Amino acid sequence: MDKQKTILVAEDDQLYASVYQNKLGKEGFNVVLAVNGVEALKKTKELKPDLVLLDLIMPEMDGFTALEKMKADPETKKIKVIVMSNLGQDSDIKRAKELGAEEYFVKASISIQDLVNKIRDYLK
Amino acid sequence: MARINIRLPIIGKITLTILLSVTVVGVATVLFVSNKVGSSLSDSKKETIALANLEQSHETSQVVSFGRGAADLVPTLPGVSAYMENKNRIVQDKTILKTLTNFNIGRNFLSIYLLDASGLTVLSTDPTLTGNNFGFRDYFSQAITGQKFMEIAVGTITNQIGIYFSNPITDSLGKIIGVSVVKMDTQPVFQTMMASYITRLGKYMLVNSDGIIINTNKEDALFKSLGVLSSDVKSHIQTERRYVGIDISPLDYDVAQKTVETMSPKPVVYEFYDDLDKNDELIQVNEIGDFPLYLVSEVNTRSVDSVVSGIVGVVILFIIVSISLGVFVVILVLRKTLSPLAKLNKYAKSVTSGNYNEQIEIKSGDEMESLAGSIREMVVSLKGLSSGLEKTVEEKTKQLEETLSDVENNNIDLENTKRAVLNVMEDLSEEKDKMTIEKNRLETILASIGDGVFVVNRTGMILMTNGAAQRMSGLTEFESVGKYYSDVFKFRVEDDTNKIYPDFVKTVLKTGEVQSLRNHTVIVSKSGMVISVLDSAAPIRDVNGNVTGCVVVFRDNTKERELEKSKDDFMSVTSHQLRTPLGGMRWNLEMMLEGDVGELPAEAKRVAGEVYKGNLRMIQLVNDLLNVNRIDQGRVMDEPSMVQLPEVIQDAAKELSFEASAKKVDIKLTLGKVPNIFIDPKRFREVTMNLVSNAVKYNKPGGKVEVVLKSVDKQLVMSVVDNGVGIPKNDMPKMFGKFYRASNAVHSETEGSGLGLYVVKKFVEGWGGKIDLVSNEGKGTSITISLPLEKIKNN
Repeated sequence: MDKQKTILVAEDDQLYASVYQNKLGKEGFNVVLAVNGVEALKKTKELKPDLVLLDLIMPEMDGFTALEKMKADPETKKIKVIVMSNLGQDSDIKRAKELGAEEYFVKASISIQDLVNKIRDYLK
Repeated sequence: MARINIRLPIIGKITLTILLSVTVVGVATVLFVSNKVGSSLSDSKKETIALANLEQSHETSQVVSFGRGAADLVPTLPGVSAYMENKNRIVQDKTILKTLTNFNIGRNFLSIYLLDASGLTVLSTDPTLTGNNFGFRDYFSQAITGQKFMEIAVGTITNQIGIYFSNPITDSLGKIIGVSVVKMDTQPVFQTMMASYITRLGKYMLVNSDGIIINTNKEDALFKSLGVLSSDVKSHIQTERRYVGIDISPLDYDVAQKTVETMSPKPVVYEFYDDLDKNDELIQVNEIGDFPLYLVSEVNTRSVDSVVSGIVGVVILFIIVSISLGVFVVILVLRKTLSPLAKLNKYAKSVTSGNYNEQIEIKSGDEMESLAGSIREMVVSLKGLSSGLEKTVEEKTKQLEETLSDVENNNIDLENTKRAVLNVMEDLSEEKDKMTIEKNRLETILASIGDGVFVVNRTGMILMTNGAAQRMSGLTEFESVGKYYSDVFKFRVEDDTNKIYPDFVKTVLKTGEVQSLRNHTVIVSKSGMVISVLDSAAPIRDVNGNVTGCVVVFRDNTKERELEKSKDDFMSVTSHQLRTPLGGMRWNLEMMLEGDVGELPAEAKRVAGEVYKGNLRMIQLVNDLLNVNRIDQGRVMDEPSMVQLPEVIQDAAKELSFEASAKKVDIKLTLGKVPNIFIDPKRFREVTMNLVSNAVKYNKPGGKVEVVLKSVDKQLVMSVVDNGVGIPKNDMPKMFGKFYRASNAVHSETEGSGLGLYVVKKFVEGWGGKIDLVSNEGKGTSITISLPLEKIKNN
């Protein structure tokens, strides 16, 4: 049996955080939560998760900054990051991709199941 | 000073110069030498003569002195004085005679005799003399007064020339009582003369104090006088019977005569031209001792001269020979050296007459050779020049001919034009005044309008600006006119003010088409102020339709931009704020419906499904609002690439296949062969999706949708045709309006934002294409879009 995959979820909104935990947990992933950019960085460095789901609007340090730092750190730069945000401007998407995000999904525009499928694709 | 030009070849000039200078030198040398030689020779000759003369006089003097010495003794001989005292003396007394005769032994005088106080010869060794009175003789008249005397005379009795020495005879008291005479033979004297050196040099004359020549080796000079004798002397000689029977004629030695007459003791030398002998002579006069006897020697200077001439001749000859040799050598060398000149001359002449291919070879190893080389090079370049020149001349001549004929034509036109112009000028001045008024009016208008206006010429140089433009650029009219427009009006992109806006004026001038600036363009003023502007640039045409310039009008739309930006921000924030809860709701509902949070009863599940649908609608609405806003703002940036349209359409159709099959509508694709186009694939997909989804949505079960793609006349044409519910006639005009839904739409599709066609139209027109909508209520709808194949405007 494959080792359980760890997903770090950086999300400050409780509404979403609980869905991630519930659904992703049910799908068999180990979900670790971070409520802001600083925590996200720290936990990523510590745990070296298999995937990071990164919100953009967060307190302390926003997603862009966290992403930039993550990719700059040799220990963490190889970890795949999927940006999850309700911002949807072309400039935001461009920026995230330039900073090294694998994907950018607008939370409201994707079904939870589709998200899970996409996650599985990335973790293959 | 006049310039003298002598035409003479170089050799000639040089030879002449050499000859001239050498001749001058030679002549000077000759003159100098001959002078020096001559004078030294004649000096030495003079010296020789003088010495010889001196010696000879000395010798002669010795001989004569002998006579004198002897004569002096005679009065002192024993008995002589007493005899003469005796008044009763016996003539020819034997005792005294013996005495005198004995005295004469060895002396060999011609005669010794005694004269009494009257001059009568009382005693003589030559008896022929006895009894004769010689009182007329100077030797008597002198001696009787106490003066011993010497003279040379011819004996009156003997007819023999001799030297007479007389002495006074005195008694014991000293009274003069008689005269003793000794006559000496001149022969010994003459003999010494004959043997002298003088005779070798020239001629001599022994001369007495009268100047009469008594001995000489000169022909026909004996018993002549040196010069003319005075009449006194002549008569005296006569009376004295000194030279009886001899005719004395003068020679022309006047100077010598004078010298003798003055009895100068010093030797005198002078030069003299002898008419008789016909040559130049040197005359030397020496007194012989203290005696009234002179030695005159005469040396022919011609002999001296001839020696000098001889020497001079030799020198001259030598000089001439060496000069000739020298000149000859010089001429030879010169000829050799200068011969190349003739060659060069010939060569130059040949080249001048056009023969550039003439050759010249000089190997003299000197400047001539290098000159030849230089001239050869010159000829080569001359040749080139000449041919180039010919060509140029030909061309120029042709041009000139053409120009001349043009000029002729123009002249005629000019005349006519002149007349017309004069007429026009009168009218013009009227018009000018009118124009000035009009111009002022326009200027006032321009200055008053709030938008910035500037005009450029064909090359983009600013011709004029108005007040508003100047305010926005920050530069005055003076600072703006004449400059390239982008140096004055700095158009930039709002997002990055360092990014220079493309040269739209150039495009207008080139294409002659109106250009509008993209949204979010700014102008940066001189002071760095950034002003949002909207503008349009239009071409200015002349009467023939040619673009002669461009006019740009731009307005400060800062306020509008501000408004837009705040609307933008509002939209962004709002949509984000709305999406957040909506998204959360969606996922939760999904989980519920999936059964992830426990199984729901069937009815609850149904209701949840309805809630989910509503949630999805709201999410879609928010998305559409954002989208539309972005399109409105022009914020949608195209990312064009080469797109294979059939692929895009197929993809869209596949996406809609689920919905289509659910509605029991069939989608058919008729995709012709079209070239790939450069377009944003996402946008084109969106357009296709909108159109096809409309065709599916507003349809009945069993309905058909066909998508046709083809290229016609450089246009890409896509049609979406359905046989669905169609559009009521009244709604047709407003179908492309924002949020507009046809009145019958809600029956088919409760969800529908009314934005689909609005977005499609916006995109298609943005690409420079056209959209066409045809519909029949209840029958169906057909919508056609056409895009220019080559000129898609990607924004």
